[in-house]
Amino acid sequence: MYSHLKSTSGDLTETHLVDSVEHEVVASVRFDANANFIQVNDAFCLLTGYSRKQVLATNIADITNHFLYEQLLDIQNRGESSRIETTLNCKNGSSIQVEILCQPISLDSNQHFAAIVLDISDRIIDRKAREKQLRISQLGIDKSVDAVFWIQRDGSFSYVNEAACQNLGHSESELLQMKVADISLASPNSEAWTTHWNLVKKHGTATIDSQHKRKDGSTYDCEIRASYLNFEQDEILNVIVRDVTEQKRSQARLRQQSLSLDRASAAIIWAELDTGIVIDANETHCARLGYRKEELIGKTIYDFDQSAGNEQFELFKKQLKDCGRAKFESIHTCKNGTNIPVEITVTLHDFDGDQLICCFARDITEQQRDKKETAQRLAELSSQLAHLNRVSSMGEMASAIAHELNQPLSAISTNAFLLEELLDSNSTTSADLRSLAKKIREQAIMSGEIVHRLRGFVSGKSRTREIADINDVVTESLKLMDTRIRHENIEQRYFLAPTLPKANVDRIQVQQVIVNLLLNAVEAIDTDSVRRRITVRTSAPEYNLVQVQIEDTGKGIPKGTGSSCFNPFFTTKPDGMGMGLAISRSIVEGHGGAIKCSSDDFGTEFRVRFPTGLL
Amino acid sequence: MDLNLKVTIVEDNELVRQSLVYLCELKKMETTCFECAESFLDSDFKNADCFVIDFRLPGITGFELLQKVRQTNCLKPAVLVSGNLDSSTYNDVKVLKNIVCLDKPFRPLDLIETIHRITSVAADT
Repeated sequence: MYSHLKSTSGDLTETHLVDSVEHEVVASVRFDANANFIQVNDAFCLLTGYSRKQVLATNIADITNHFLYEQLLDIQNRGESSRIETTLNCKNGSSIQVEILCQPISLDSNQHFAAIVLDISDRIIDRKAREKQLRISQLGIDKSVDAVFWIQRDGSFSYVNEAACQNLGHSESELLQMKVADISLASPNSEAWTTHWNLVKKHGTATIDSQHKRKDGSTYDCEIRASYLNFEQDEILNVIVRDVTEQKRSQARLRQQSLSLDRASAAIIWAELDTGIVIDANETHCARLGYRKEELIGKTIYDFDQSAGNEQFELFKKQLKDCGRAKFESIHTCKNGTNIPVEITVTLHDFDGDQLICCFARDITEQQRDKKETAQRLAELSSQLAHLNRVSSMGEMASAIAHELNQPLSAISTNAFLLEELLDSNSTTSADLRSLAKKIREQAIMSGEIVHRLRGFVSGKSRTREIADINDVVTESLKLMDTRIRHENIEQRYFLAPTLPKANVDRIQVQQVIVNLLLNAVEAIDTDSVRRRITVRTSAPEYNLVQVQIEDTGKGIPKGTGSSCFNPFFTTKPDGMGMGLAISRSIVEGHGGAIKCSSDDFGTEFRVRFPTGLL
Repeated sequence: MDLNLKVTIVEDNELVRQSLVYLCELKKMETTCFECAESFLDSDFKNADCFVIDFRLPGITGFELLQKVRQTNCLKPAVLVSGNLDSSTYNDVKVLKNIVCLDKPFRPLDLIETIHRITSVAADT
């Protein structure tokens, strides 16, 4: 309501005063030397809330705080207008900050005072706000995390904040007695300080790295930012000091990390997911591929990774997007064209919306070589084991074989004797002689075949595959076993499919499987058993499979054995090694086939299947 | 030398059987052949002067066959032709009378001589 009365400057001339009084917009009063009101205007009454009569009945000291008569006396003596700040107590109990402009007036030799009263509460609030701001600013500097120093031209401190004291271990009063040279290793003497001063003054600001010395003699790395201030001819440097020990340490750590990444045994590549553009690669990767780092960055992973771009790679990419990581084997091509087999682990990372992939590529050349060597050793071992098995099956067949071989030998011997006898006889015709000689030849060839078959079976280490008719292989095996089976008085029944698709097999190995199964079948049939029969069938259950079934009427494998009869050292024979079925299975599976067994109290059946390779 | 010496041969292997037949016929013997023990037992085997029996026969051994023959009170001499007999079987064989074991492969003349020897011994007793 009185906003238009509020003073901002307070410098009012006599004219203003008179005008104001006349117009009664400004509260104005007259009072005598005892501060008794003589005259008040409407504006004053409005300001205080009192009626004119009430005001005139009072003394100015009654309605203001701290109104001092000494001040009035002083004004009177000096004869000049003066201003007094005080608080005016209004009728409603509120108080108003006012400025009273007092003008001494001599009238009829009586001393009067004419005064205008200005509401200055806003000005007070402003001033308080300014003071508060100033205090906050000061507090901000006092409590700043960084150390703040105000340094004068001579190098002495005019101000230090709390952080400065804390960092250096000195109290504020100690520091204010010290100079820059006492704490800064960058300005150890006044000459150096002067140089720095001039430098900052010339450029306005400067940043330097230095070390500060603590009270206990230790030092710490710091970064100093100084700015030159000229305030009403007072020159100071405002210096902000930051402790960079931790920063330097973490920088060193970063350098260590980047070094260890560079020297890591795995190649590390960072690339953009979508474009495959390489944005970083470690030294291992660069060195392995024979590129300089600058050459590699900006190329795409498609430039050196052979799997990149093919169908499987797209699959890995999808897996990467779904799961955040993928692992696969690939080949990296070096600058000189050499290929390196690698195992790649890729992880997906989101950096503020940028989809980046981090690839770890491990050189698996040696691993692959080891794997190959292990596989080779394993193959050799299993071949030796299989050989051992064949030799041991020969052992089991030894007496049968001896007998088998003895038959043609006996016949040869007898026939040769007959030949000799006939040669001495006169009644012999050349046809008789020729017939005997032919018999001897045939029998010798037969013996040779037996030996050949045995030698092939026992020594056969060739491990070569050939396209073979399984019927032939089965027939060969049956020939090997024939004597043994017949002398156990076991009936043999063969149902060989008239036509079978051919299979790519190692004949000796397949023969071994069938001999193993036949030996088991023979031994499963007890000597006193009434039912004595082994049935062998060949068939093609599917167009791309050939099957051999070997069925016996023996006592069967103990119940609950299941497929564990194929485990090594499984045996039901008192002196069995337990390797026959295990070896047979490894041979069959090595051919991509399968072997199954079903057994009950009335016998056992083994089914062996080989793929023909037909698609 | 008895021209009508009758020899019965039990041998499952055709080659061996044939050669034995030739051999015996060359030496003017009369031969009868059987492939297995069963058909032999079914025959009038007692008419023979001598048996030549293979030890390894399908189903039944030559030794078991001879045991059965002896059970019929037929004491005709026999040659048991075999591979290497183990000692326990050999001892068993010796219990039966008028039997000589001959290991394969044998010299043809040995068989003939053996046949002559055991038939003449049998004739003496």
